[in-house]
Amino acid sequence: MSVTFPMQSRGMGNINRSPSEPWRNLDWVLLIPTYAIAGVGLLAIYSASAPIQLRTPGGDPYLYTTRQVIFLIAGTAAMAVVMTVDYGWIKERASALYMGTILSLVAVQLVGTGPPGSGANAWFDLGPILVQPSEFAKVTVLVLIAGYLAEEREGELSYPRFINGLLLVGVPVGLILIQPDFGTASVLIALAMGVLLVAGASMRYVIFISILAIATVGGLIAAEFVKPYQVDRLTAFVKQETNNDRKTEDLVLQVKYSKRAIATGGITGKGYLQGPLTNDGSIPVQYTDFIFSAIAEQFGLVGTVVLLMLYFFVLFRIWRVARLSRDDMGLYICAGAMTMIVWHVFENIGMTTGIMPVTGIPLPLVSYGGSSTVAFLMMIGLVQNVHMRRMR
Amino acid sequence: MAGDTRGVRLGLLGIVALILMGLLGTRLWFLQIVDADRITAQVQVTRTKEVYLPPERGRIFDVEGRILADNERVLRVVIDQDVIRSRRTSRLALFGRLAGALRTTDVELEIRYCGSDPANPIIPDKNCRGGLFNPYLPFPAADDVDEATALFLRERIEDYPGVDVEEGWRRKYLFAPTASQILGYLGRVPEDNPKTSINETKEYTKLGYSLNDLVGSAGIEKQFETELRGTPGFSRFEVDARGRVLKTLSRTEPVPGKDIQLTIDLKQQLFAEQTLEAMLRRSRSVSPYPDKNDVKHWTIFYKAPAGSVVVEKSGTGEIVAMASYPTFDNRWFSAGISGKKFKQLFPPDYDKNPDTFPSPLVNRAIQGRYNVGSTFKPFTAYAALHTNFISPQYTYEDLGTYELLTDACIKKEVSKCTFKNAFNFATGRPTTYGVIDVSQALAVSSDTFFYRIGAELHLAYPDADVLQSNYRLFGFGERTGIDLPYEYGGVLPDKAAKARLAEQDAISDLEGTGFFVGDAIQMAIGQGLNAVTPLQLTNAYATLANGGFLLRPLVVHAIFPPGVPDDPAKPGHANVASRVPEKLYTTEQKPDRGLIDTAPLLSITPGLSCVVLFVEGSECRFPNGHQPTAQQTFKGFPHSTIPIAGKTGTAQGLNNAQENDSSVFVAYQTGENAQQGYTIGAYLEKAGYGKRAAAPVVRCLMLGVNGLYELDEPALSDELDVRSPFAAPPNPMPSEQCLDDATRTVERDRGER
Repeated sequence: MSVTFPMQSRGMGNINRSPSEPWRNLDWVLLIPTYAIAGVGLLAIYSASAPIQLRTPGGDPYLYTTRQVIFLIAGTAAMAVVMTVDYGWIKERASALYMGTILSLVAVQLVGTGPPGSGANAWFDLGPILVQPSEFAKVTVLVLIAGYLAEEREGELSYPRFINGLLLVGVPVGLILIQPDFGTASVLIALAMGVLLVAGASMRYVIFISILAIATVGGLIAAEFVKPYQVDRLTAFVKQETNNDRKTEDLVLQVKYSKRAIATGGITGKGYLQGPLTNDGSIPVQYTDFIFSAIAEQFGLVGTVVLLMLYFFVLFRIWRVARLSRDDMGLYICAGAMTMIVWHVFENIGMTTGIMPVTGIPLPLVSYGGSSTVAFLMMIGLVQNVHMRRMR
Repeated sequence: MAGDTRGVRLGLLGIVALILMGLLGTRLWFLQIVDADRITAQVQVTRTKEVYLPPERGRIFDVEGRILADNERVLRVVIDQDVIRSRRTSRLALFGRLAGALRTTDVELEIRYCGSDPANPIIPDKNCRGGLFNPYLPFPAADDVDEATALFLRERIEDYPGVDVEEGWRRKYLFAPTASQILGYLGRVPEDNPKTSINETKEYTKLGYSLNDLVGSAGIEKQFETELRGTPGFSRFEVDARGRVLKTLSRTEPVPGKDIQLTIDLKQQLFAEQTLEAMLRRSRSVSPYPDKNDVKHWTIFYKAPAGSVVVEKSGTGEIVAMASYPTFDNRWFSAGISGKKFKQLFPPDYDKNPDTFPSPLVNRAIQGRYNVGSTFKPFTAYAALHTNFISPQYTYEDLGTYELLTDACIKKEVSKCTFKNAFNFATGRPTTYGVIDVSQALAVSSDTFFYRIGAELHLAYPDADVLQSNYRLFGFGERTGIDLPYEYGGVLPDKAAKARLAEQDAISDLEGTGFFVGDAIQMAIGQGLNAVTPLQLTNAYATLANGGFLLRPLVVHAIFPPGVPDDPAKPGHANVASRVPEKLYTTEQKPDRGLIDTAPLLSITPGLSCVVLFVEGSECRFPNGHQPTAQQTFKGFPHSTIPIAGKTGTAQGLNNAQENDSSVFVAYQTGENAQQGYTIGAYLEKAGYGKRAAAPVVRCLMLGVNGLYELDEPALSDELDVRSPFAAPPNPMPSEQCLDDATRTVERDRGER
């Protein structure tokens, strides 16, 4: 299928348009929970960032919320662009896309910056905004691996294709690990595993890739390639109740206060803008990675369950699109998107509740952050793309 | 959709997603429902921080308003011990970062924490053994920092984990070490002692003390802890996760403690301490065996290890000076010295050999357990006169020995039935005084005269304890009730007391079966089992001086409401006159004790006057060349301006050896101004017979307290030298002229007790 542009036939209604016309097949039901989640995110970002801004001389309480609205608009635009072209068309340009991704990841190593003190090079500093290429790599790698695996005609994935698939994912994962950014690398590994699982990799392969991943992490730590702060994060996770080392205390305190905020929210929460731990900034950078604690404190178990249901609804909708997909690539795109969202949600909420180690990965569409918001909406755009073009 | 396996596998992915979401739901259930109450309670505790605001401790002044104990406001940089105790590298890293702010170096901080290397004082001890500070309290990295440094550190509390700036007070003793024994010192809240039933830590905690608080541990500081302490304040803050203060919730200002004015005159106190010390030092180069042919003994000198003096106002019981030697500098207790240094200064094994290591912490004036020798005789005389056992006209022929003629003695069932006077050095036989009355017996200190009284009073009323009940009238055998802690009450031996001593194995069981005539004979001359403190003795003589009133001695004159201002005209002085005291301590007669029978005093006082009065050809000269015991010492004393009476005493020590004689002397002013006059007692351990050491000290002090000897004005002391090896530095008299005057006379006439 070639490029299709929406054409408005003036004055004749929709009579001339085929039922398979992509723009008539938008999954509106998927968009509702998606934007509902984004809306919850805006409320949470305001509550978590405004009190600190108000205490800062000249601070603007709406600063982060306004920016997030802009990110959402930009993301929606990017989503629309992604939906415009057939995903098959994107697949044909896969090698260029892949090269662009690799280049941007290499470039960020050379000219990028990172969070102060971390020593990581994860962002391009473009003046008013910071762009995180690894976030966009999630989208490109998703398209790429889905396309590559879909070329297999056999029922079961062949071994060479499995290895090549791993290598395709492995190169960006390696580059992201160098930054270093364990969180995003783990997302790509989860994506690969999810897609490979659905694509028919035998269980042996899946076990093999799991062992490989664990061995890699172990090797990196042993070779002291891993930055000390990442080891600290693990230590802090293991010792979150018993820690007495000053070095990891901040990390332990972050999780401890996050757990306190969540627990003190109770069933119904303390009410919007009424959470004391959120209001006094007990949890560092709460409006990004620890945004869930703000929601839990203010809206309680009711709020957190509603949020989980919204995610579940999104996942269910993507699963449904996967079932309807016209080809394997569409199926794999949906499977990958699902895996990534599940992993993001599980790891992020897991770390804020103290059952997972702290890695800097955001809560999809809720955490403040331009690159991730745009990337997630692009991912939803890809799923929509599959849905829009499900009829052959 | 290709192939059914794809569908199955997609379903598998869906199930994994479901499981993970379920896990999150379960976790949230536990956090937000099961743990919610527990964590909510926890959060409320940690969300406020309470800061203790120590009150300014009450100040202590002397009778002239000299500020003996003052306070200084300090900002102290402290480090939590947990942060620095274990790991040397992390400690050094923190010290390195702190050093700049505290204007020191990391090496110096490490030396402060660990002590210096024994071989090289400028490098820290590797094994960290010599630390100066209490391991249970935060380590004081700097004691007194300025506001700017404090602010700098407080703003960067996150960069300096465990470092805090505390506001506090530091106790300052402006004239230390003078009067250290009386003032006492501050120490930590005592730890629980399993041996005693009193759980001190709990008691203090109940009163609202924290374990880091300093409390009065001795002297006035301990006795008046309640008044001096004040009421602590509290500041409650709301804090964030990192302990940063968000806002002040409440603040209760501390209330300073009450100020105390003592009866002590520091000028007299300083003089008393100097004179006592000078006389003890002099005694150490004197041999009790002046005969150079006595090869066996001529290398023996008096040890004169310790002593004490008390200067009391006869009419009011106010203590003007009270010195005990050896003494200490009470600033040692706040100097943050190490345990090792402390042991060096205050050897813990002083009990084992009191001659070598006399404890400086013991205030011997109120804690000494002494035989007081012949200074006890006036009270024996009182017992005999008061009970009409003898009349004032009664005479006795002193033949040098007293033979006890009880049945037991005639049957030779007991060994000791002959009691002798002291030997006359010239004749080698017990001194004989001839026919003497009670006054003369006191003046020459005849032993046999009082042996007889003791023996016959006891034999006449064997179970009535006549002697003891008369001694009790003068306060012996019970505490004087002075406002100082740890006062010893003394012992008057009787049947019950002897039984107790036998139980403690201090005397044999046979001895413990009763109070015998031999005990009475010994007690009559102040020997035997009786134990008296120098303060008890002085206070008893004050009773003789003031016409028969047994008073409660006072060291505290008044308690003032907090905040007596400084006197701008006189540095180191408070303007006590500008405030009205909250409580004024006044002369208080001991309850149940009326006016003592004054008739016997008419015989006793002339005898005691004779002891000291040297008038050529007066009635106070006795046949056979016997001079009253202290006449030589008081030669040249202005008797007409300051009429006095006194009594020597020589308390015999181990084996009755001369070098173990302790020197005792008490004198009081007589005449018209007796009520305004002073009673002064001195007790110098192992320093010779009464007139040799104690009498010169009393003479000096009597002149000083009456303004007839030029005294130094006490000066504000220099900083404590923490390297000093002395508990208190040597304290020489500016001029020993008055001691020279008293001891100039040839040492002779050894036959007195």
